[in-house]
This record gives sequence, structure tokens and C-alpha cells, in this order.
Amino acid sequence: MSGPQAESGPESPPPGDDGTAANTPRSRSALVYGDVNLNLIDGSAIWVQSMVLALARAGCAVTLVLKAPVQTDRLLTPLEGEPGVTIRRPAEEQLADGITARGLSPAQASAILTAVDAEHRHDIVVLRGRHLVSQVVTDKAFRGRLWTYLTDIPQSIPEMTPDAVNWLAGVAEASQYVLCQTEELRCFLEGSVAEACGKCVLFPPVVPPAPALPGTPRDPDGVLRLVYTGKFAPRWNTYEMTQLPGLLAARGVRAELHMVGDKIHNDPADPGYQRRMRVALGDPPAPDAGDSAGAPPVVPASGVVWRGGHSREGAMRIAASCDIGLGWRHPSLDASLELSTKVLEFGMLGLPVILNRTPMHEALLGADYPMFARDLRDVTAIAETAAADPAIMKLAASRTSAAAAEYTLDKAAGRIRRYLSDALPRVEVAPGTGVLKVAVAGHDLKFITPLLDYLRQQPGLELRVDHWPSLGEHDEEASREISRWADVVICEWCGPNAIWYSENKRPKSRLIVRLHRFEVYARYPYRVDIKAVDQVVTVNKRYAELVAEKTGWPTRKIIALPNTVEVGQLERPKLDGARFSLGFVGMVPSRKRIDLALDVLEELRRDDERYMLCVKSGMPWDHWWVWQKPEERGHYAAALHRIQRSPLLRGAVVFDEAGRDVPAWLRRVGFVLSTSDDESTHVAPIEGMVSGAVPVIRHWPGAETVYDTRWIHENPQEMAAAIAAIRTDEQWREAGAVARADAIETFESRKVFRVWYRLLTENLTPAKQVQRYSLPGAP
Amino acid sequence: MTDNESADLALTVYAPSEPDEADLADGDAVDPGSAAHGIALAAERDQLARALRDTHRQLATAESQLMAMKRSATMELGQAIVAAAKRPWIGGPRLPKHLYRMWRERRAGRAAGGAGNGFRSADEERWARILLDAGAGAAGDRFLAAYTVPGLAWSAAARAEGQDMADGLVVAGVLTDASCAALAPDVTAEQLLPHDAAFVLEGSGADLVLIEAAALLPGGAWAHAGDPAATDRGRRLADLIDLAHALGKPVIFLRNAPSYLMPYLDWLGTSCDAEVEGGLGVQLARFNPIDLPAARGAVPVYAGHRDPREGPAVKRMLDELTGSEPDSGPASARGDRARPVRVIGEPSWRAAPGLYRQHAVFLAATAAQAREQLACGARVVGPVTEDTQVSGAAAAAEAGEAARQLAAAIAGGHRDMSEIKATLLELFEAHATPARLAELARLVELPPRPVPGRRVAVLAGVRDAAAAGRLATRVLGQRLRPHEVRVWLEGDMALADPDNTASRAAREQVGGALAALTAEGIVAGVVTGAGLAAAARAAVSPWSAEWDPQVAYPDSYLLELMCALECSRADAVGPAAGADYVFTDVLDPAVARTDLFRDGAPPRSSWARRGLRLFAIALTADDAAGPAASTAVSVVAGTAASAVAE
Repeated sequence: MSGPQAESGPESPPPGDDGTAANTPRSRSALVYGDVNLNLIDGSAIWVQSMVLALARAGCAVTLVLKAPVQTDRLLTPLEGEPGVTIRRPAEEQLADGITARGLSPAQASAILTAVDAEHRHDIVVLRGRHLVSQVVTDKAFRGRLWTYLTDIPQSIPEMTPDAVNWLAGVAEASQYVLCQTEELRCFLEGSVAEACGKCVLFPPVVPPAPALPGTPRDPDGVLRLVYTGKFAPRWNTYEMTQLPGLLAARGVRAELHMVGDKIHNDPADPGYQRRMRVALGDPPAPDAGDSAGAPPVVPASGVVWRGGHSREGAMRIAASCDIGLGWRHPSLDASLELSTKVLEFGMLGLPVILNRTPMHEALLGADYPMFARDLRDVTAIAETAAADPAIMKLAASRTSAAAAEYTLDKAAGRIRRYLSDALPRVEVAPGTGVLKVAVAGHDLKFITPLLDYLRQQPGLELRVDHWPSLGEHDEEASREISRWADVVICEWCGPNAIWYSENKRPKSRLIVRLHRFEVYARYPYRVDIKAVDQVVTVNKRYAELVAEKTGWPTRKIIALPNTVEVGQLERPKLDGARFSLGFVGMVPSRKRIDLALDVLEELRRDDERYMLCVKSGMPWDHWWVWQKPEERGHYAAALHRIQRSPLLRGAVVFDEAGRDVPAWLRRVGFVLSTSDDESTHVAPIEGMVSGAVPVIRHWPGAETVYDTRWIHENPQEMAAAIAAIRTDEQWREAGAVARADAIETFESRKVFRVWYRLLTENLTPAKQVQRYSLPGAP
Repeated sequence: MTDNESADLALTVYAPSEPDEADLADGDAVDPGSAAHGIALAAERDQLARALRDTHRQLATAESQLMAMKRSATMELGQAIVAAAKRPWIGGPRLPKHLYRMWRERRAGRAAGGAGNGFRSADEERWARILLDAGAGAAGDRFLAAYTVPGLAWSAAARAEGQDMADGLVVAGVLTDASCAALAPDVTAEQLLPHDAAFVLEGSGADLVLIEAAALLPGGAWAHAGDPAATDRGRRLADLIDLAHALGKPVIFLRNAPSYLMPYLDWLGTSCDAEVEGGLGVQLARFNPIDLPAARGAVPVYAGHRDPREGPAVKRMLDELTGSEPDSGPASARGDRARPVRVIGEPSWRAAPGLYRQHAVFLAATAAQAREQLACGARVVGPVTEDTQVSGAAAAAEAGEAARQLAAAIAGGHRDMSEIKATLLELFEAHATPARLAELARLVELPPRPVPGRRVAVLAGVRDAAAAGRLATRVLGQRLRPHEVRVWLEGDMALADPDNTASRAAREQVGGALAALTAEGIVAGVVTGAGLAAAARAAVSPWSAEWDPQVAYPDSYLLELMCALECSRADAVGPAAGADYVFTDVLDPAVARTDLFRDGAPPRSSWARRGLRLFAIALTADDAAGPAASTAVSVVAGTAASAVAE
């Protein structure tokens, strides 16, 4: 039998801000480790550097632990100069025995990180590297504080084997956040691993700024210069690219192709490739050919200029001297869920890029970006058109520049700042303020868990939980101890727990009771000693009025605080075609009225067959207490019969799997329906609103106290008419934006939790508005 | 289950209609009643069925692993095992559920007799253990397909009354409405949905499973299944493939959507038994030149929408030809009227046949569209978005050439029926839906079997073996060969006792002369009895063509008849004076439903009055023998001679 669980919040840090001034105390701390050797300057090393800088600029005190002994400080120098960053060198500091030149093993790293954290507990621990993360998860270290970044995640359904899923589930469970490079990767992970839902946040690549480019701009000379940087390999189309100068010459366009790189892939499937590629590249590059200021390279008759291998700065310098970058590749590479940074690096230089059309690139550059190419014919046509029309080059360059601007260090710091605020939402307290002891008591803490997580983060609070095994069952002695200990007791559900705590309240303590729905119709409230209760919290004003009406409790004690939604997880771009997709979440039990949703759909499909209904729900037969009732079975049998036989509905209703991947699922939904007979707060439309879907709500009792009346309709016909009245994508997006703003204003968890925080120490006055809900006590 | 659903169910559990906890203070158990007992039994049955399905899938995996191991040498053995482990998702993410279920059962077992987890009684917990497993409820997930009538939705709407599809191909799959409409006249098409695919497939008797890329695009039930944002639907697709393989059904992936819209589907192609480009061909029952309007729009039109995703070469060509921009507003407003082509937008699958008949000249967007427009008798230039050559359409690589071709098309005026029919015959042979299906079936080594609509029997009366031999030679010379040939003996042998020695000998000789047909896979035989009705009685093909062995039919004879049949879906096709490719009240049937030649069929003069659909066609004359007139005459004569008693 569970009893009170002693939990304490983190140590109270000194008050501080998120500024980056060298001497400004930092309110949060981060421990960072990447299982990468920072002596090798590659993408993973740059990632570690970028992460440290972003954390520091987001206001964290960052401790970076190095994997390997330092041989070059090229990447470390910027970090050493960054305020708030401390670098630990395990090899040099001899933090462990047996550290080789190759660096720490995962086991060594885990032990060292634990030791460093023991010196000063960090708020978050950021890790990169599969084997390292495995080790840390196995060691059960840093649970709840881990921010994990994984590469080598399976990226297709067949690759997501049971073993992979189990491993990822373990990592997700241990993590506070799983950092994902792209939205595609995030959605795929959530769709494959239930434990990842709610944990995945975006951390796109950070593109280092372009190096300073000396020299004067080149005078226009009527030559179109194309540039490619990277390896020479079959699927990177580098051999095909070498044909471009000739193809363009045939169309009257003088062109050069500058190839930067020195690694020619040896393809076992095509033994002749290396030789072919080398021949196509032409003469090997002379040392430093073309890099010296004012010394243009010699251009052979083929138009292909092989510039050889260069540092990143050198490569970018060459690219900056050209007109168009080439990122066009074989379609088999389009399936990657990761973003190639090539286009971003070119964008940093203000260079337009010819690349493959993929959904990811369309999201980055726009579906009408003028330089998407499918084949060599397209590449040639684009280059020819661009040579003739500078406006196209300018448009493309503006798109790549704008895209690259979203991947700067400042943007990364902004994201980190937001994640830190969500993960560590602290209300700072003045030094010397006593700790407020808060207890939460109840049998089902599902709805209050987000609030509990918030309260746990607060430096001025100490939190305990009195978890009752069932509605009326508890360890009385443990509850008595809680009652004696707590300054504030929150009873989640107005059941026997509220009755007991009202009868056993310690004088001068506060008792808050939160009431949901069923209690209004049960006998429990009548047995609560209301005189001992300081505030009763309901989820909406209608229930506040109903409670007052049924119980006779003083209205001054009854307030309404809504359920909350996690905005960050729900804000995702909509998929193509979402506008014609109606969403319905949770059709069990029958009072949810899936039949009315079918009415709405039928009405719409009489005129427009594009509308579909997606139902994300468990099935009624999965719940015996529902399925054993004949009237419930009849309701669902009728609905399913109708769906499968009606010419208007067959094929237009899809039952998607129940699951926690609601944010990803909402990407396909344009309108969220609520057709229930009765609700307290129907969270599904709210989540839909935050996602940018338009809510369409049947007027169940009290709906007008939860949602703006513009979203509420009297019957399915009016609901359908409201949907059909939105005739264009633009109108739909506009309505969705209004809905999103509405929902965030009212239901965003941080705002609501701040009110709860006030509620711990002061009584709030009930909201006076009737038509539109607003937070009590709000100005 | 989402948190919201859990919330509502939690509320339901403690709904006021349930007994108050005080009433249960004495530990009284709630009697679930006999109905719930029945529910539990049904649940157990479904659990076993599910376990059996899982076993099938595991067996399929094990078999493939075994095959891989047998094929590989020692160095590849490890790789083969790894590759098998990476096969699409057999028992994939369900494994955690299995573990979870085992954990729950163990936990429930340990806690036996004690109410915990919020259950109010031991009985409640017991029922929960049976019924709370995902999908194990009474009748369970089968409800999602319990009311689905196999093949009804599509086939009934498109099939002529009485056409027996029992022996036809059954195709199930992830299909668009347009593809279902294309398939429906010729096969039984089962459109699977994400939530009912398993049940419908199991009960469908499908010969072949098709997964169409176009069906994964926005707008359908499987929308986004190729996108990481809809991994749930992608998993269901993988499940479907697994199940199909477990049931021994081949799976073909049709890549008929731009790959740039769904780049994440490479795994799908490798998971299927075959991957092919293109769709399901032209459905001549929908796209055909029957009853074309006398006046058709003369201005060339582009029946597509200007897509911002057009390739640069395509965009340049269309900009020049139409003067419109991608996404430039309603179709009627698009384009510069001074340009050679007007954009009229892409029609819905329902509206397409009507639209293609309204206009005389098209600039086609795709090869599939070009063929549909050609079948509707239009002149076609293109396609513009694909590099495919379409026979009958004028290719144009750039705007200038296209403009010249369009001008020539306008100058050419409306195509006459002989030209249109030549195109139709080509489409019938190579690009119509039944031909495409045959191609797909060959790809996965299904036994060759023409769709019922193309199965025709030749019925002929012969005097002797020589005549039979000539018949065989001419039938084998047909571009479209019949499914079977049934002959009856004419002359004295017709009246002789079948057991008579001479009669038997004659039959054997005639049968021997038909051996050449049998050697080519055509069922051939001499019927007992005499006359057309006797031959029709013996025929098993749904269609029959009366054949005069004396006539030198052109090699396109059967082809023309069956093509007309496929376009019209009539009950009988044949010549009628002055009529060509129109329905009529009177004709002499050259080919008809076999049962119309049998005893008891209504007299031919009454067919139209009885509501039978009669389709007139002017057959091609044979240049060598000039039998066009004689063909018609002999057919009529043959018909008159062997007509069923009126």
C-alpha cells in the first residue's frame, strides 16, 4: 500500500536571470558530454560545440566534459572564451584510471559524469552518442534530467525492430527530452516508440557562421559558375554534374563547374566509377589553386575545375565566388529523416542551390522554390533559366538565406531557452523565504501530474504525495502525518479523500479541493466539511455554478481553473490536405456521440467528397465496463454498420490507433469535432486548437464557458455548415490561427500553473464573465 | 489510448449509475450476468484467433529466414539472419505489448483474489484480465469489418446485371477511388482501410494485393501513410504486407505518384513481391467513344492543374502554351485566351469521362491521361509531365513543337471512327485495365486467366475435319484468341446417333483437327448434339461468338468485337445497318452472353424489348477477301441458319 512519498525540490539557486553577462549568476546548470573526439573537426564535434554555446547563451552555466585528451583546441577556443562555460578534461585531470589516447569508454564517461554531477548537481545533462546513452541509462544515472541526442536512429519502419523499439523506449523513459534534428524524425520516433511521446523536442543543426570573405567581388563576366563541395560518389550525382558545362554550352550558356573535394568513392557495385570520375574531374588540382586572392583558377575546355580538398573555410570561400550551389542527389537519398546542412551552408553565403524536391526541402524553401530538380535535364534547364533571368537567382538566394537564418546559434539558443523554461519553470523566491510544504492527496493523479511536475520544480516548495490506492482506501496514519506536516493540502477529486482531510485539517493550514465531473452527481461533496475548505477548484464555470447549486457551498470559495495543454508539443506544421480532414478523439463511451460526427461528415460529403473523418480512439470492446452494457453495444454497432454500408461514409472514416502520439496525429487534422452530450472540459478540441485546427463544437451544457462561442454550434447541420463556410486554405489557416491564439491564451499550462501557485497562498475570486472563460484573479 | 480517453473512461468507471462504494463495503461481488459470460467466451475465442494470426506471421518470418540460410554461404549467413530480422515488422512493436500483456497476466496472477488497481471486486478484475487486453473484447476488432460486404461498394455499381464474376480475379488493396472504379467492371475489388485491412483481406479470397502510391497521398483513407508524421498508418501498411504473405497472397506496389511527394517509401517497394511504375491502365468501360457529341470544344485544353511543383522544363512549356501561372485561381479564370491552350483543371475521377468527350484536342498531362483522352476520341499532344511516348499521341518536347502539333490537331478536325477504333484496339490489347492486370499477374506468377469480360467462346458448325482444321487455323490467326472453341457436326453427322461408329469416328477426326487449338492453350471440343444452342450449352465462357468456318474473318475480328463489348458492357455486339459504336434496338449478334445462345433464351427479336443492351459496330473489312459485306452477310446467314427457335 503506497504511502506518502517524500519528495523535495531542487536546491534553491541564487536568484538570477537568463542573461549572458560574464558575471551574471546563472539560474540553471547543464552538464554536457558528447561521445565524440573534439580533436577531429566533423559534424558531430561541431554539434557539441554548438550545443555548449547555445546552452551558455540561453543562460546556463555549462560544464563540458571532454572525451579525449586535447590535441587541438580549434573547437575549444571559442568555448573557453564563452561566459558561463567550464571545460573538464578527464585525461589531464586524471579523473579516472586507464584513459587512453582514444578517450573515455562509455563506462568511464558515465562514472566521470556522475562524479562531476555529484560535485554540483546540474539541472540538465545533455548527452550525445548511442553507446554512451546506453551506458548511462543502464546505470540509471540522471533520470529525469537527461537530454539525449541520438544518431543512428532507425529511419524506416522495417528498421524499427522490436529490439530497437525497446532500446529507444528505455532511453525515452530515462530522458526529460529527446532531441530530434527534424520534425520528420520526431514524428517517426513518437509514432514508433510510445514512451517518446511528449519527450521529443526539435534541435535542428546549427550552421556555423560564414567565414569572413576577403577580396573584392568579381565583375560580371557572363559566365555562370556552379559549385559543388563534398565527396565524389555515385549517389551524389557528381559524375553527372560534370556534364553540365557541356550541356549548357549547347544551349548557349557559358558555364563552369567548380568541384571542391578530394575523396572519390570506390563503389564495389561499379568498379569503373573511380576512374570515370577522375577522368571527368580532369587534371588534379594544383596546390592552393584559386585560393589565393586575385588568382582565379585555370578553366579547362571541359569547364570542370577541380579545386581539390579544402578546409571548411576554404570551401566556403570558393563557393562564395560562384553563382549557384549544387545539392542535387540521387532520389534514394531523399528518404533520410535528417537534414543535409549543405543547403544551409550555401544559404549562409547567400547562394541559391539546385537540389531535390522533397517534403523536407519544400518545408525549408517553399513548394514554389524555383530550383528543385529531378534529373539532369531539370538541372540544366534551371541553370539555363537562371543565367537568363537574374530575378530567379535572386529569389532562390533569398529563400536559402532565409532558411539558413533559422539555423543560427542565436536561434538555437532561443530554442534552448524555451525548452529550459518548459522543463524548469521556476518561480523565483526571495532569499530567506521559508519553504512552503505542499501535499497532494488522491487516488488518481493522472490529471494533476503536470501540475505536480511544475510544483516539484519550484524552489520555494517542498512537495509530498499521499497516493490513495483506490477512491476510498488509504493509509490513515500516513495521511495523518501528511496533514500534520503540510501547509497546503490539495485534494485531487472530491471523494473520500476530501472528506477525510476536511475532517482532519491542521489549523492554519490551507485545504484546496479539486472537483472534476462525476463527484457533482455523487454523495461525497455533501459529506465534506466545507468550513475547513479554503478553495474548491472546478474545471469550468458551469461546473462551478453547478457545484454551488447542488451543494449550497459559498460561491466565494468556488473557482474555475481549466485543464491545461502543453503548447510546445502541439505546435507543428499541418500536412497537405489537412483542411479536409475532420478529427475525432476518443469515441468511448457513447455519450461522446460518434454518430453525430458521422452526421456532420455525411452532410459535408453530399457536396464535397474530399472530407474525411479520422477517429483516434480506443475501441469500446476494449473496456468491459462499457461493452457489457447492451445500449453501448447497440450504439457502436449502429455506427459501424452505418460507416460500412453508407455510400457516403464507406471509405471516408478511418479509425487510427489510440496512442499518445496526438501531436503528430493532429498534423493531419484540419477541424476537431466535439459532439458530446456532456463534458466538463473536452481537452481534444483544445489540443486541436493549439495545433492550428479549427474547433467545431456541439453546444453541450457549459461549452460556452469553456470556448469562445464562435466555435460552438447547435447541431450537426450547423457544424457542417460552419466547416463548409471555410472555402479556401487561406481562410482555414486564418481560423486556425485565431483558434490557436484563443487556446494558448486560456489553457497554456504555464499560465494556469502560475495561478495555481498563487492559489497555494491566497484565495482567488471567482471569474465573473459568463460567455467567455478567463482566469480568476487575472486583471 | 490517449490521455483524454483514459480520462473519460476513468470518469465512466466511477459514474454515478455504478453501485456506490458503500454498497460494496461488504465485499459483494457484482454479478456480471450471463451476457458478460458470453462476452468473455467470445473474447477468448478472439484471443485465440489473434494468436493464430500471429503464429502465421511468425511462420512466414521463420520460413524466409530458413530460405535465406539455405541460400547463403557461411560468410553471408550472419548477414542473412540480420536481413531477416529487419524484415517488415513481423511482431514488431507489438512485442512490447506482448511483454506488457504477460507482465499484466503475471501481476494479475500474483494478485489473484485481491482487488487492486482500482477494481471493485475480484470478479471485476477477472473480467478485466480477459477483456482489457487490447482488442480482445467480444467480437473485438472484427466489428470494424463486420458489416462490410466484400466487393459490393465498387463492383455492383459498375457491373452489368448478371455478369458472373465468381471466377474472376479478386484484387484487394490500398487503392484510390479512381482505381477501384477502373477495376470494378472486370474484377472484384476490395478497397482496404487502415483499420479493417486484416479482416477484410482474410475473408476476401483475394488473388492479389495491390498497394497504390497514389492512395497514400492526401485525400484518402491511407493518406500520409508514407510520411513519418503518420507512422501509425505506415505500420498498418507493413502489417498488411505481412498478413498477405502469411496468407500466400502476392503483393505489388504500384508507383503511380511522384516520388518527391513520398520519398520515404523505399522500404515499401522492397517489402513487396514486385514494384512497378504506373497505374491500372485505361478502363474502356468509362473512357470510350460511344455516342460522342457531334460538336466538341475545338480549343485545345489542358485538363490538369498548374502545380507549383512542376519541373522547370514543364513549367516553361506550360507557361508558354497556357499563359497561366501555377496556383493562379479557379480553372475558369486560368490562362491567357490568346495562348494556344486553355487550362480547365484536373477533373475528378467521376467527371473525367464526360470532360474528355467534350473537347476535341487535349494537351495531356500524363501518359495515363493521354490514353484516356485518346480512348474518348480526342486528338492528344503530350504528355507534358512525363517522358513516356504514347502511341496515338503527338509527342512534344518543348512549347514550340507542342504548339505546332496542336495546330495540326485542330486542323485535322474530329477523328473519324475508323481512326478512333484503331486506337481503341491498341489500347485494348496493351493498355486497358484487363491487359494491365494480366501483366501484373504475370509479374507475380499468378496463373494466366483473362478477366471474365474477355473470355469468349467461338461456336461453329463444321462438316468435317478439314473444315475444323481451317477453323483452327483462322482462330489461331486472330489477334485476340478465344478462351475456347466449341464445334458441332453439321450435315449427316449432325443427325447421327452419337454412339454410332461413323459418328464417333467423325467426331474423333474433327477433334483431332482441333488439337492445334488445344496445343495453344485454347479449350476445344466437339459437342454432343447439333446447333448453336448445343455448343453454347457446352461453353463455359461468359461470352460467345458465332463463327462461320467458311468466312475468312480479318485477324482483328474477335478483337474488335470484344473491344466493343468492353467499351459498351452490352449484352450483345454485332453489325447493324448504318450504325457504328452506338446502342441499338436491333442487331445480329456477332458476340453475346453465352446464355443468350442457349435453349430457353429469349428470341433475338425481343432482346431490346426485354431490356437487353445491344451495341452496334461496323466491323473492319478484310482487304484480301473483301469479306466485310460477306462477313456481315455470312454472320447474318449463319445466324439465321442456326438461330434458336423464335
